Amino acid sequence: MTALESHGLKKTYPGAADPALRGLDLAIQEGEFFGLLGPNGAGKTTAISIFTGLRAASEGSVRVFGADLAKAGADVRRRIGLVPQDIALFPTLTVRENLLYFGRLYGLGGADLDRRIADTLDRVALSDAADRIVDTLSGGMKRRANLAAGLVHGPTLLFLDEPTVGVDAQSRATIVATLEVLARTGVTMVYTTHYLEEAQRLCGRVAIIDHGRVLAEGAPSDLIARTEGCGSLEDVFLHLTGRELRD
Amino acid sequence: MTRFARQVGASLRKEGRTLLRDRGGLIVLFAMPAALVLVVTVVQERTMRFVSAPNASLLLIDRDGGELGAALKEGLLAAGVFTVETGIEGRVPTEAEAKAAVARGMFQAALVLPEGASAAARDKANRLAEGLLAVASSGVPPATEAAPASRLSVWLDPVLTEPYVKLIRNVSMGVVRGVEMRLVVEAFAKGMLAKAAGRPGAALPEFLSKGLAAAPMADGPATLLALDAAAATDRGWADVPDSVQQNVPAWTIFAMFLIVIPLAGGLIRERREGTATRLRVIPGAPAASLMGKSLLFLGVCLAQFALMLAIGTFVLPAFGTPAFHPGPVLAQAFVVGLVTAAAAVGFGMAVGMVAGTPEQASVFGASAVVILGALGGVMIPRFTMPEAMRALAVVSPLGWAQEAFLGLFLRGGDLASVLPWIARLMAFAAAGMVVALTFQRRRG
Repeated sequence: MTALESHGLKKTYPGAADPALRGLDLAIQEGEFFGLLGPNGAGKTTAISIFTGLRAASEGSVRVFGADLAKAGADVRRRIGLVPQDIALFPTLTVRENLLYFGRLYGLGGADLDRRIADTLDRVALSDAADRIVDTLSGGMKRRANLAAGLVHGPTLLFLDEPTVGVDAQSRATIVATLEVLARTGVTMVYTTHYLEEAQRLCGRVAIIDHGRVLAEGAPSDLIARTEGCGSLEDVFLHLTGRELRD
Repeated sequence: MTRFARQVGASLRKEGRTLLRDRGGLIVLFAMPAALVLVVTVVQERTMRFVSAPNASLLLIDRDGGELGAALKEGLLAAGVFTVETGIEGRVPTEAEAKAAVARGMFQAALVLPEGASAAARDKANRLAEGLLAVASSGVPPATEAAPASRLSVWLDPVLTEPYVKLIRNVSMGVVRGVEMRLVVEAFAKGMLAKAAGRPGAALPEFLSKGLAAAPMADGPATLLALDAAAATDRGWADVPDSVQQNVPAWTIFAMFLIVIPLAGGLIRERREGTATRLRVIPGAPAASLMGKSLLFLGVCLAQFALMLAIGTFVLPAFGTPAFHPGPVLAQAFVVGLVTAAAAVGFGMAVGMVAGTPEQASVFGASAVVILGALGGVMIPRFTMPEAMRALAVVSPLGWAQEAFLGLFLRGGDLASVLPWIARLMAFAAAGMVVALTFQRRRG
């Protein structure tokens, strides 16, 4: 079954000269680990905002597990999880209190929620820091707690917006390992990152987008094979999007 | 319990935990207003007494010891707005000591009646009567030198308001004029009788002397025109509040509106830190979060209300002020408190959604509360403001709340009588929420 499908997705922000998305067509199957790659300003975050219902598209449609997202009920939307690029946690609460809050907002409670929190904390190696105030955690621990908050309700479609940005090698390895375990449990993941070797290793399929359009789509190995002179996903990426600075 | 109610419950718990860990926020919400109401009430106590309290204290130094001094004391007491002391610590002070006592705030005024004032007044009355009789009989005034008048010295506390100064002067002069009039009439009657009997210097018959001494100086059967004054409403006089009645509700309202700082700041931080984004992905969570915040801060406002009333009732009297008496309208006051809290929450929500940064929200929020508080009569009572400022007060929700509280506590009103203020506060609360929701949607 298709977990996420977009057709002709366009988005123009009020007052912007150029559209952020110019007709994005994607189809992501259930259980897929899908990489959405692109330089800064390519439209990745806008696409994720629309896929998670945070923003409305100017044109086009999005279907999640077969349901039109614009009309989808809470049942469908509760299957979605988001790990934003920012550390989206309440800094004066403990990690456990954050997870309790987000879990309860998803309608969970009691022993079931306690068990899920314990599992999730174990998964991101934060069991020992569960009762620490978020503000006192290191950058890597915060990043892992941020991931845990997106996982606690057990989503089947998870959007990860640069989940490993700015962390040390150890935390990054833990996060990647967690994602690999999740992928094996059948969770569909849509993943954005600037670490292309990470995407090459983790993703079954990637789409390279720029200026709001898909430039190439397929398994990393296929993309490397079919792009002349490229030995890695990063080579393909630079070949397609160019080397000029974007920021 | 519905899913939304559980979400609201979770948000309420989360907000409670967050607030309890925010020491600065708790100080702003509870310690600061408590300190303000204590300090301002005690500081204003003396000043407010001048314009409102019925018993301002006067010191009368009677060096004359005659009928003028006695009449002056009697007249001042009869005015009903003074207590009159005739000494300090059991002895009659010098004029310099009396002046210093007024300067220290021990008395609002000191009146010094010089020695021989009664005799001088009587002598002046006699000369006046003789002159009148001489003119009446021969058409020529007697060639007597006018005696110098004794002077009543009045030392006034410089912080006394002008109407109060006039009141002291008018009451004193009214008494003096009354005595003067009696002395003149007495001297004139004496002169007339002596002339009729052909015996200069003859004494008044006893019945006339007693009658004149008993003649009333104020309203009485002999008064030509009596004055009846009454309040123009059925409820009687709208009393001017004393310092406690003014400040306890005023600073309670001020404290309630100060929630704008933590409430708006929290909303903005959630937006900037990304938690608001996470909430928006969860069905029903943004509305539940707003509802949880609203309920928490309504609770905070009611806790402030209880705290401030408790301070007014139990703590302020220990600092020498009268105790705050909510009287039989506590339940109605609770309703006004709840509506005021709703208005404060609506304001906080609107500021939190419109402002871009926590700094903007706290500077704008705090300034707005201070300005609206000043306009609404929180800092100083509205009745002491110039007319133009009083007219401006109609725009202040803090003023509406103050009027509603004063209507209940001071004017003996009920909920129906303060309904116009309640309606305005509710409309303000609703407007704040509409602005907040509109901006929340727009920012989405």
